Amino acid sequence: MRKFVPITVIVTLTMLMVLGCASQPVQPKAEKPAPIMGAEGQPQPDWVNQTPKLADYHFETGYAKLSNKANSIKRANADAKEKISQWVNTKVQSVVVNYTSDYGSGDENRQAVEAFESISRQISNTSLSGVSQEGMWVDADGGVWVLLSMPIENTLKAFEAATQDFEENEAAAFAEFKKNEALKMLEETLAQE
Amino acid sequence: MMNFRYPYRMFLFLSAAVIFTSILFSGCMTAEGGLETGANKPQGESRLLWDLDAYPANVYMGVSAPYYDVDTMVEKALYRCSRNIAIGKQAAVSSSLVSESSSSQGLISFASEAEALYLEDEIESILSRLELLEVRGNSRTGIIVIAADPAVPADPRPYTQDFGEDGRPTWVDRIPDIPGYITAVGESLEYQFLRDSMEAADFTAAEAIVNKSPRAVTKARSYAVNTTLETDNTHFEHFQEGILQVAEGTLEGFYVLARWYDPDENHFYSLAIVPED
Repeated sequence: MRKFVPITVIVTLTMLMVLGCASQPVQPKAEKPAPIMGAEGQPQPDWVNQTPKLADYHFETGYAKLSNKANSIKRANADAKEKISQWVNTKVQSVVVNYTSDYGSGDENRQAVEAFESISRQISNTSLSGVSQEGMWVDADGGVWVLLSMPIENTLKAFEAATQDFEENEAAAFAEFKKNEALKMLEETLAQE
Repeated sequence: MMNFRYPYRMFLFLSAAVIFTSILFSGCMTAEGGLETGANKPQGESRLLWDLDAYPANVYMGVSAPYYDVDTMVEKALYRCSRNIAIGKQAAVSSSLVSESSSSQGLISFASEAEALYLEDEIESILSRLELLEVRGNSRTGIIVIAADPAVPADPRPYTQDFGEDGRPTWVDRIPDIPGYITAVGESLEYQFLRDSMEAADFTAAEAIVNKSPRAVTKARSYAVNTTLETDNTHFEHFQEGILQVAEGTLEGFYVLARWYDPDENHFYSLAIVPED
């Protein structure tokens, strides 16, 4: 019996040691990246990287870094409004030009030069209303980010204002067509007489 | 020739030196905070002179340049005060901005211009009803009047200033969110007269409010040109864009909550609000 006691103690201690060494399987922790802090101590808002989307509103972000904060805010607002304006109405005009030139005399001196030129021009002309500044964030470098929103129903108003000139032109073209038609009829009538 | 053989003589000399130095430094300090204009810039005391936090939101401030007597200065300052109230009641603000940039030159140009129209006719009636509450500042350098407009409800101010350890208001670096109001901070460089510097800062705040207000209408025009030229051995790409925007809106209830002068940057700041509804 006395021999059995130390053996039991040794076995128990060994088991305790082994158990103590066993560790829980380490679960890989999904570490959240530290938030990017701005110059004013505010963390970077989500909308800087992902522009929000809502059924009734259109959102755009704008960014600028000029010589002072006031100018940066103005330019960033203008940048975002410009994006809204382009979203409402943009006219794209493109032209592609291919130049070919063949000069020189004789087989050895003759040369051909070819050049390809592509010019693309985007023009936007709108009148925006109901645009609200939803957020502003100043990054660590002093660059200003703004988030603007505009009710989607206002895009119709913006489009109507912008296309008014176009409609007027169309009406003028129709009138011109009618005038030409009338002149043609008059000429035909005169010829018959 | 000084003789420092005796300790008490040395003590007397040192004491005299300390007292003399103290007098010298005391002489450098000014006893009263003045309302400086032009080359004499307002220092830290401007915080106390321009602080209206203790008053309700129907209290306004007016500034006068130095004149030959105090009565004239009060009269001039009250006129400025009435003018601020007239502008706050209703002002049509137009803010224009042009900017061009290209891939080869970066930002080519950036310029903005703003104008505000207010009803000058109302100033006389406002002036007649103003209640003078306080006259602040040093009469040698101009004064500030604090006056209440009984026609405006004496509501509590929606925001009171917090100051950092260096005495800088927190709103200068971060525009506060004030529920129910559109808030903006305006800033201006110093002009010859203090009243002009302050009004310029107020005005840029009004411009900033118009630019972020949903009630404003913005006419936006822009162009962008992409050019690509390729030959058998060259490739050239160029991009240029330009914008012209004019934002117009009428501000009603425009109120300057606080003003501050930063002597290090030589800038004037104004914190202004307009009710959202």
